[in-house]
Amino acid sequence: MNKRGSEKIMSVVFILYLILIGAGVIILVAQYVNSPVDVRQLETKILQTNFMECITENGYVISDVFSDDFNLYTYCHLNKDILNPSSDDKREDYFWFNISFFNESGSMVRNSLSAGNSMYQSDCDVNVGKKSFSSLGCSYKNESYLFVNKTGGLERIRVATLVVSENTGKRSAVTKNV
Amino acid sequence: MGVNKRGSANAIAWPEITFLILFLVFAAILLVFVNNSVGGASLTEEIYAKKIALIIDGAKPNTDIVLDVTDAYEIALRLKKDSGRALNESFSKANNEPCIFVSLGSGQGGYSYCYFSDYDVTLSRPNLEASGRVTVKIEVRE
Repeated sequence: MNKRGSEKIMSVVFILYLILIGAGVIILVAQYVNSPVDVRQLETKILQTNFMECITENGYVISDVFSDDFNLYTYCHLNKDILNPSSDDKREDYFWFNISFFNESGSMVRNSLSAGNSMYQSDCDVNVGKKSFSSLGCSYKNESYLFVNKTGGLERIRVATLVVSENTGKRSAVTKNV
Repeated sequence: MGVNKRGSANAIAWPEITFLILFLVFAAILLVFVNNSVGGASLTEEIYAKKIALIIDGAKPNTDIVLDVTDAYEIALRLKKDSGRALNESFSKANNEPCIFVSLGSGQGGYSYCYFSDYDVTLSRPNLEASGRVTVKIEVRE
């Protein structure tokens, strides 16, 4: 009688183990599958590289950058609708970038080139010093370049760029044709 | 025929056999679930949509890139059950949208990811090569 009882208990324990293991595996796999493939950091690095390759050449900041009618989007072949959608656009604002130009005394040589959702900047600023970024994709770079000033003289300037991405893509129900 | 009931094969083996069968069924269900989840369409759709968009973002103008998408095609072929559909409907780019759409399942759903490059981008229909490899060609023009 005792042995039968213990066998029943053992079978219940066995089934409980199976259920526990199964639930564990299902939860872990579901978490793995549902977590997004995070390429935001990589995306910010690519955008930052595009900016720097576009506005600098052989260690010089190109002179067009300092003209009043400089358009970063057309000059660098970047899509404004994606990087900085207008308010009547249905797109969400997934990016923020800021490019600042400082001379050796620390004052700005020209206004910053910035656009996107400025809310993201503060999230990245917190960690810029530590170089460990939050859940957003942030890329910060501070490099030294030369530029030819209005009098024709050479000046050294620092170009500080911060690029932030919250672009995670989306599931869509409708196929779009090529 | 005086068989000792305790020593008979039936009396000893049935509980163990039942447990073993239960365990095997359970393990098989788990394996199928894990295989379907990890090797499934949704994860592959997301990976390829993002991969192609980032390739476009990082590409210089007048560049042609050929990307091997054989594993994605195999998933599409398994789910769509039609080679033509798997080739025609898996990878696409909207005419007026800078977004890559990858749809490997049998339905109309898929994953969409936009690129920020403003160059003229063409994404070819997947090409089934004689070797069995499937590739898509991305052309980035000024």
